Amino acid sequence: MTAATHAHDDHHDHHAPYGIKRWLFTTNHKDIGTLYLWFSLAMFFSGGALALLIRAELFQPGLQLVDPEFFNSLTTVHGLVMVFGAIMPAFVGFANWLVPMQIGAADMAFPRMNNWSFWLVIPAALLLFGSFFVPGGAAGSGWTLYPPLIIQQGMAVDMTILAVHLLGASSIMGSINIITTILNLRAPGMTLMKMPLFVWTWLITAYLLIAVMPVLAGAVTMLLTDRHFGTSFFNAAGGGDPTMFMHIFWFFGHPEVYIMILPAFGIVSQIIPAFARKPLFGYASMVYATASIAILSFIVWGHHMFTVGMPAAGQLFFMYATMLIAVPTGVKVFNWIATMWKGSITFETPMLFAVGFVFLFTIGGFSGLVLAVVPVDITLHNTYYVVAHFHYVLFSGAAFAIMGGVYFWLPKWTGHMYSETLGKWHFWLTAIGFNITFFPQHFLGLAGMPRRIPDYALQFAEWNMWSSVGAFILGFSQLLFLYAVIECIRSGRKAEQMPWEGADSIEWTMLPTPAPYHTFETPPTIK
Amino acid sequence: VTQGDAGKRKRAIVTAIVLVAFAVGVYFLTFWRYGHR
Repeated sequence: MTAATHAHDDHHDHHAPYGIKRWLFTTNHKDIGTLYLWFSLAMFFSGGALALLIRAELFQPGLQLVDPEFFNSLTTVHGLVMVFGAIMPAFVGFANWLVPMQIGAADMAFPRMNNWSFWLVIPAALLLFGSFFVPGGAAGSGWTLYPPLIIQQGMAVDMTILAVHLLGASSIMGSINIITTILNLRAPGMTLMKMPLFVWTWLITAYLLIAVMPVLAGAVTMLLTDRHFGTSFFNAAGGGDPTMFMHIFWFFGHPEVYIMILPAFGIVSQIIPAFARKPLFGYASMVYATASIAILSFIVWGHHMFTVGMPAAGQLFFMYATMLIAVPTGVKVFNWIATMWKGSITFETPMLFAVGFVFLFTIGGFSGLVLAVVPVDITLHNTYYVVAHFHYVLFSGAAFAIMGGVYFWLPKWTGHMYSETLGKWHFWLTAIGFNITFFPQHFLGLAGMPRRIPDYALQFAEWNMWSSVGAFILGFSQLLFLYAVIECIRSGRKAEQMPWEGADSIEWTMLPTPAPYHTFETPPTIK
Repeated sequence: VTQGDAGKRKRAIVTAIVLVAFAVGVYFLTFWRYGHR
């Protein structure tokens, strides 16, 4: 990537900074996209290392490797790092690279703010990981930061709160940039309903982010004042209400789930038509389904807290509203399959990840429907069934789409092809390792194993052993991904102008491969 | 924003101001429940 863009850089702008200054001060959407993607990969490996420690401890019953407090810190920081450090920045990286190229813009609307958005995430990551080394260890409340536990812990919690604030500010700035770019900088002729699906999903995601990140910021501000400034927002002893935190958190938290999956829908909606060599089936219905999912995501938060003691009417409302989301999601799954139907399909690595996504994400969607049923959820709440469910949605959903997207656009980004053999090995090891890790967790949850515990009853031993073996296969096979990406950048064979004959969005048809350092200096006209 | 395209620049800035105002509004709205205590 560096070599490819640098050559162009020299050609176009003889005064462009190079070395560390290029990356520190860059306002170029591609450079910032690259920074986001590398950052997210680093967080993916760091968060993954925490996950492997968790699975190593759970390999057999009893306490082997870590003490229980540290185990709580591991689950908490693993969750926070994967959500805020790995998945979200990866999609922002994609947005930075692709949105201007797909709508025919020169760059993002606010390039300096774009730079600032990225550099805010670095101190946030340092705070999160640094919190392991302060007295008392990292926060152990789980990523949901529930009081009263979170109010009683040490200074690591303050570091976590500051990290969440920074990440929130970064996301809001990024979203403002993306919305402004899409609404104002489209090339002549690029009407909203001509935009590639990836751009559409990000437009809707950015609105979700602006609507809910301030809510999370408000919630953690209240935690901070409860901890240090004598307020009792969530402290029952002072007249506060810990349940209120759950409501506020999940009012953010549920749309957050869709923030992490809608851009994945966008990526998959670009990959499948390219490899099925057919236009996307039901483009307009895809757009409306995405918007419907986003709107519904605001009225389902209660399903995360069915066991809190809400009235039956509340439980029924949240149950039915949650089930309603299956309708637009079903429209999408139908459209992806209909796109493939009678297509001239080939299964290069991006397509393998996309098909893997459709298959495994749908399993995660169905287990979500199971959990939406109140009486079932009351039994399964806080069990490993929930852990299995959200890993099917977030790993084989979001992370599969990210990996597929990386393989799909690497030729455009770097001008080089990745090794198809390595890519296929990576996909199959990931898919097999993933299913060995997480499918048995459904059984564990159904049998009653609670989540977030370092020790468990003997009857859970066998499936935990399977799960841990799968986790190590899954974890170490990601090194193949790192190797494949580096090999592609350094020594991959030269990519053709159109490496995927079925790809039809304008970054493929109207820009050279690799993409030039400056995108569309003159706006293209879209017919 | 294309260089010299003042109209687009103005529209982009207005869009951003509206979005910032919305985000700040939502942040303070989070505390609304507690204003009645």
